[in-house]
Amino acid sequence: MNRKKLFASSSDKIVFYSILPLVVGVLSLFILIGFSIFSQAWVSFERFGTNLLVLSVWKPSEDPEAELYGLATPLIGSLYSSLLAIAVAVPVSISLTYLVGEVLPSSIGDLLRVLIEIMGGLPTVVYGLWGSLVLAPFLRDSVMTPLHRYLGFIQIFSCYPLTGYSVLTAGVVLATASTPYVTSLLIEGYQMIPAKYREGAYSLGATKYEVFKVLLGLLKPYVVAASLLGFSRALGETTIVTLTIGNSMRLPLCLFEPTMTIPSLIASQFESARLYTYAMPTLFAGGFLILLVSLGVSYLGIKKLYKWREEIRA
Amino acid sequence: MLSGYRARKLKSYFMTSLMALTSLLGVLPLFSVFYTALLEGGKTLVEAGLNFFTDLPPTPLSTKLGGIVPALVGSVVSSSFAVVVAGPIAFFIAFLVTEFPNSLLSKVSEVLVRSFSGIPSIIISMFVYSVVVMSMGTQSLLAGSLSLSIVALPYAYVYFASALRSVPESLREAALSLGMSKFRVLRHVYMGVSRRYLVTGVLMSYIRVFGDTAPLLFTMGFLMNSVFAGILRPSNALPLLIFVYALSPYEVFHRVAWGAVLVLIIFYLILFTLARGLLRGVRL
Repeated sequence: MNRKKLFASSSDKIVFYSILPLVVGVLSLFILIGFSIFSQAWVSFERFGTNLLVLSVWKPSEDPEAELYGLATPLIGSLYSSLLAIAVAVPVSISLTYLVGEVLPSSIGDLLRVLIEIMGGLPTVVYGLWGSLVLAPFLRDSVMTPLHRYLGFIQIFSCYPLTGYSVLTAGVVLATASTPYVTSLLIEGYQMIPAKYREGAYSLGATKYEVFKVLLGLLKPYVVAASLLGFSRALGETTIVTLTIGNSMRLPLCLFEPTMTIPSLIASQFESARLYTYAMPTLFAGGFLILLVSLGVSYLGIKKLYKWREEIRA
Repeated sequence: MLSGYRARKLKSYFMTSLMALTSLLGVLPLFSVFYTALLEGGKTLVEAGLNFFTDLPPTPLSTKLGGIVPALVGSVVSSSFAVVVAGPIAFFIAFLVTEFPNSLLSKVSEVLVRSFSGIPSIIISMFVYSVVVMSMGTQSLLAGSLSLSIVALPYAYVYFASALRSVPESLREAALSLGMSKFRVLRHVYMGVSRRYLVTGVLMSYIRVFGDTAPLLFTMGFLMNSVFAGILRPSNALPLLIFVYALSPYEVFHRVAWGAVLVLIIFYLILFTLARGLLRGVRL
């Protein structure tokens, strides 16, 4: 397309340029968000430097000189719980894709898709309340306690589950909330695979499962992309995690221990942080870090997604 | 040879059952959520009666359940505000991207709006706090609404873009070949053909922001002692109330939270059914 073809008439040109300020506005908003979070965080970056990444301490004080903060625990907690969520959500999503794509008759498959859509749109606070009042006690009594009793010699099962609020609980609820999102992406991608591959596989006498395995091989980059997008979402999720992870500043060596994530730290400390000189900037510093990682990972995911779509169409 | 085929068939059955079981585990939480919400929330609603929709929230040690009216009012006002502000912006950018797909501006806009969905909503809350709340000196319904508007933008964009793309190429070309300008095509063809899709987009964006908690955490305030204090004063919201009450140790707050969750789920299902029903009517 050459540039002259862009506008068929002068009125098209007017339409085009009247939308321009809108885009500029949205672009400035985007930059402003990043800039204002960073500028609020700057004091903390300047004062604590790399200690912010390696120390694990939250010590507010009336005397600004005595204040000390390190975000190692929430940073690791964020990665830990989000990875756990994706590790649970991706196999479930692949299974659902198999059922919808190869096994179920289309009427039941459609019903299942509506169910998944309902699940995906459900407000996260609903999952949060359910996770904290229903799932946490259930996991404690029926999963964590037996695992600890019989397999307690393994490091990740070694601690005695006290409240049920733990990195495991948060991971499971996060997985529940991410599964519909990852699943709809996977089903969408699965249906983009040209029919010739499926027909070819079936005509060679492959079983349903074997056909799925072949198609899943083609879908692999898309699965990675969907996992990245799901991970980026889980990383920034606040409501669910704050209600289920227990919010305690300790490194989670064991799955049953409470810990915290950056968003849950921000949500639980924001009110009191106003009282101290460096607490608020440190929360913004954590926010800035999570913003960078989240944007970076979701950019990678979207890029991979588009690349795969182009390749499969070609 | 036959036994080899049998073994493969058997393996296929085995893997299918395994994955069916995994899938079941994946959707089971939805049923558990609905079941407990209906059970616990139902108890709350029955005990509180219609006053649940008209009374102020209880105090921690109160024996009466009270109601959630400040949260209902705040949610409806702020979500409507967000859709009204973000909707048109998202719509015109979606129009730009679908109609001028080859311009640099369109490509930038597409990446830009999609990037917004990569911003964690708690970051948006912190942003609005540092820009609006700090300069106004108080949390407010306005700040909460602005926060939700930013959250609504990428959602509305995705829905509107797919609505505009749903218009068959043949109709577009027919209109353009009559010498219509793109703006008139928008008014007379797009608005007509994809009307239902657009309404669906508005509804779905509304549902999204109605249920979102994190954008409101530091912006909305937590109004308990009156129904509505004005747009520049603190307000409340349904998801925010559920979140704060779920974190609290008080029994009465947990019960109100369950009631509020049931109300939220019912409201969500109604809007969801409405949106899907609209789409079902579209035949092109």
